[in-house]
Amino acid sequence: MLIWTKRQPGLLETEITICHDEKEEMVIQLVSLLRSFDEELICYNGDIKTKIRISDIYYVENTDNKSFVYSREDAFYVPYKLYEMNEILSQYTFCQISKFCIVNLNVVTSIRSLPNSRIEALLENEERVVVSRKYIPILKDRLVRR
Amino acid sequence: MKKLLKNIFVSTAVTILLLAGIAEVFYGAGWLSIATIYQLFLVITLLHLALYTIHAWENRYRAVENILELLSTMIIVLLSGAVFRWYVQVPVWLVALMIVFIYIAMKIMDSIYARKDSEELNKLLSSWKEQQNEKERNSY
Repeated sequence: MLIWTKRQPGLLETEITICHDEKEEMVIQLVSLLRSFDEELICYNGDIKTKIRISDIYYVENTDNKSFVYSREDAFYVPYKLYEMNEILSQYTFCQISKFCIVNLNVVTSIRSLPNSRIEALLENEERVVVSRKYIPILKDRLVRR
Repeated sequence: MKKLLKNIFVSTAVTILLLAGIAEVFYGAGWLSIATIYQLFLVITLLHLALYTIHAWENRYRAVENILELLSTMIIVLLSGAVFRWYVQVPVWLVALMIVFIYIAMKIMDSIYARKDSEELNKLLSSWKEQQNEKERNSY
């Protein structure tokens, strides 16, 4: 793969052109990765202000009336209420699955029921989040709506 | 199947209630108007309201929710039994035992529905993911 960069003064926005022969999996991934650079969320790791790519968010959880964003390995505080996070994230691949949790459907590997009639979503990082029965119709609707 | 069963039970309940009321008011058929029907109607309404409130509150821990469900059911039914004097004919412990058995049966049915829901969600999820990949492929 050849990578060329060219400085062009006066350009309002960075432009990226990918030249390729046929549709390749690698190109798909590249486009997806480049797109996600534009979509970030400001959050806090302790007192340090930082940014997290929306696509890197696994789920958002509300604990003690505070919202926390979880990536594959880290957790960050976000100064928004859960319903505000839902408004921001619902335009992406996220869905609220309980009163306390919004999950990125892209990282859900499977859904299973437990003997106590609870439903759990298993994530790519082996974590589990509970799908409450009240939100099952919403989740079904979200998955059908595409 | 779930909907069919629900419809059968709801229709039966509504018919019994209306029949009891209409028979008493219009035809004086007191033998059809059994007080227990109205008492049960009131108790079941209260139970549904209590369960609705517990589910709307949505506790993080399932065990807490289960305890609250069983406790509220016990309190409502046992208090109603005292008010409506059910214990003249049926002992309290039998009513309590019936509540526990019915509650366990409901929980078993709940877990069957949860399994069906999870199977359906898995199917929807995999087709959603295929669709997402397709979208991504076509978008560039």
